[in-house]
Amino acid sequence: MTSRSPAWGAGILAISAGGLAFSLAAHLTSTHVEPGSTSELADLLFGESRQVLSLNFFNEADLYFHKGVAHREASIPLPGPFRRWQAEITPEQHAHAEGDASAEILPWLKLATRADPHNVDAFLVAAFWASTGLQRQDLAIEILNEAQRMNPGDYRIALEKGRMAIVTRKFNEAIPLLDSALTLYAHTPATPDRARELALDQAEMVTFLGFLHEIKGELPEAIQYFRTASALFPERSSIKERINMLEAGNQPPDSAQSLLERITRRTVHDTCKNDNHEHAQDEKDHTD
Amino acid sequence: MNKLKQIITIAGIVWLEMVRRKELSVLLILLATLLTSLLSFDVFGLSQVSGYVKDMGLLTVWVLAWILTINTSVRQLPQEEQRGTLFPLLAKPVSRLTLIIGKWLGVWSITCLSLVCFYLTVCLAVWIKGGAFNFSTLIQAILLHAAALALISSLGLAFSTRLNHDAATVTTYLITGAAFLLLPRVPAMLAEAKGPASYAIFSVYYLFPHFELFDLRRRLVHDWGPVNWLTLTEILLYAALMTIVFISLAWLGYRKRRFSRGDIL
Repeated sequence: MTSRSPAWGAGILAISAGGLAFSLAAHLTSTHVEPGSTSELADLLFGESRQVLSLNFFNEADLYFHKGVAHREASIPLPGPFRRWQAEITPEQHAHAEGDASAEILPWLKLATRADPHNVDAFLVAAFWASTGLQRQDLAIEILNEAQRMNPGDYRIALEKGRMAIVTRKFNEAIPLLDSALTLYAHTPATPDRARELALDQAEMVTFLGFLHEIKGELPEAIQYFRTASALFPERSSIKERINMLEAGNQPPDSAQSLLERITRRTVHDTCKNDNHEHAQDEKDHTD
Repeated sequence: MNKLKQIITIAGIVWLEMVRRKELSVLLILLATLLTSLLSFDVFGLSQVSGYVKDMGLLTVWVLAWILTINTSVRQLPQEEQRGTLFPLLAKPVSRLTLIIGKWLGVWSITCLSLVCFYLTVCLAVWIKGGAFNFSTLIQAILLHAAALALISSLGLAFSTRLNHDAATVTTYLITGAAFLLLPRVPAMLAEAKGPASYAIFSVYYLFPHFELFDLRRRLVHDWGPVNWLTLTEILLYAALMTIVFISLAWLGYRKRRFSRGDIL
C-alpha cells in the first residue's frame, strides 16, 4: 500500500500552476491588443506583477549584454576557500556582447515587452540592439511600430524613430517624426524625478530639428529651434555661437549634417561607459 | 563485502520504488512542455538564438532536480516506519548506518540518473534551436550538479531521522533554498551589517552548505569554457566532506532511536 506524500502533491501542483500561468501569460500577452490598452484579463490576472516580471527580464537582458557578468557589489573579502572558488566559477571581467552575440539579448527584451507592453524602455533598447548590434534597421522599425501601437502617447518612440531616420539619412522623414515627438512631449506630465531626463530629451529633439531645418535651408526655423535648445541649457555656448553665426549669415565651420551624424552615431559600447552605471539609459546622455 | 551488498540491495529498493511511482516520467513531461513552449517563442523572427532556451531550461532542471531530490530523500525512512517494513529490514540484521547509506545511495543515484535525463532533454531543445553547449563545461556542470544533489539528499535524510515527514520536507526546502539564494550575498550583506547581526551572518556563511558553488549555469549559457579542473576537484571534495557530515548526523540521529510497532501502526 503506497501513499503519495502531500509534499509531492504540492510540488506537482506548484509546477502545474506555474506552467499554466506561463502559458496564460504567453497567450494573453500575445493576443491582439487595441492601441493604448493591454488585455484587461491579463491585467486582472497578473496586475502589478507584470511590471516586476518585465523589469526582471529587462535586467536579464543587461546581464546578457555583459556576457553573464553581474554588477559588482560592495563586499567584504571573507577568509576561506569559498570566495576563491566562487571567483573561479563566475568570472568578473568586464565584457560586452557584440555582433551576432547581441541577438541573444533580444529574447529577454521581447519577454519584457510581452510581460508589460507599457515598458517603453524595453522596446527602445530592443530597437537599439536591432539597429546597432545586428544592423537590422527594418527590425528596429518593426519593434518601434509595435511599441507605438501599444503606447501611442509616448514621445520617446517617435523620437527614436526620428533618430533612426537621421541615421539612415532620411532627413525629410525625420522632421515630421520629431515634430510629432515634440507634440507628444508637450502632453507628457513632468515629474520631479524625470525632470532632467525630460529636459535632455526636449533639447535633443529641438537640436535635431534645428539641424534638419538648417540642412533644408530653412534658417529662421532652425534658429528658432536652436534658441529653444539654448534656453534649456544656457551653459552650452556652442549652440549660442551657431545661432549668432546663422543670424549673421555666416557659414558655421562644422556643417549641420556632420554634426547631426556625430550626435546620432552610437555603438553598443555607448550603453556602458564604466562599471558603475545605469546601462540602458546612458546612451541618451551621451548624445547630449 | 556483505555490508556493501546490503547497501546496494537497499539502494535497489529505492530504485524499484521510483520506477513504480513514475515520478521521473512526470517531471520529464513537464520539462518537455516548458521547452516546447520556449522553442515556439518567436524572437522577432530571428533564428539561431538559443541563449534563453539554455538559460530557462537549465533553471528548470535545477528546480525539478531540487524538488525530486528533497521529496525522495525525506520520505525514505518515515515511509519504512509508517509501512512497518522497517522492522524486518532491521532484523536481517542490517545496521542503521548501512540502512542510511543504502537509502542515501539509492536516492542519490536515481536523482543523478534523472539529472542526466533532464540535461539530455535540454541539450536536445538547444540543438533544435541551433545552439550547443561546450562539452567539457557541460560535463563539469553535471558533475557539480550531481555533487549538489548528494549534499541535498544527505541533508534531507538527516532531517527525516528526527523530524516527521512534512517537517523534514519543509525544513530541507527552506535551508537549501535560503543557502542557495542568500549565502552568495553574505559578503555584500556584511559590508552593511553591524554588531551581533554581522556575527550571525558570518556564522551562517561558514556553517551552511554553499550550493552556489555547484551552479555552472552561467558558464554554460555564456560559453565561458570549463572551470579549472583543480578547482572543480576541490569543490567536489568539499561536497563529499559535507555529505559525509550530514550522513554522520543522520546516523547519530537514528542509531539509538527506538521504534515501537504499536506507536506506528
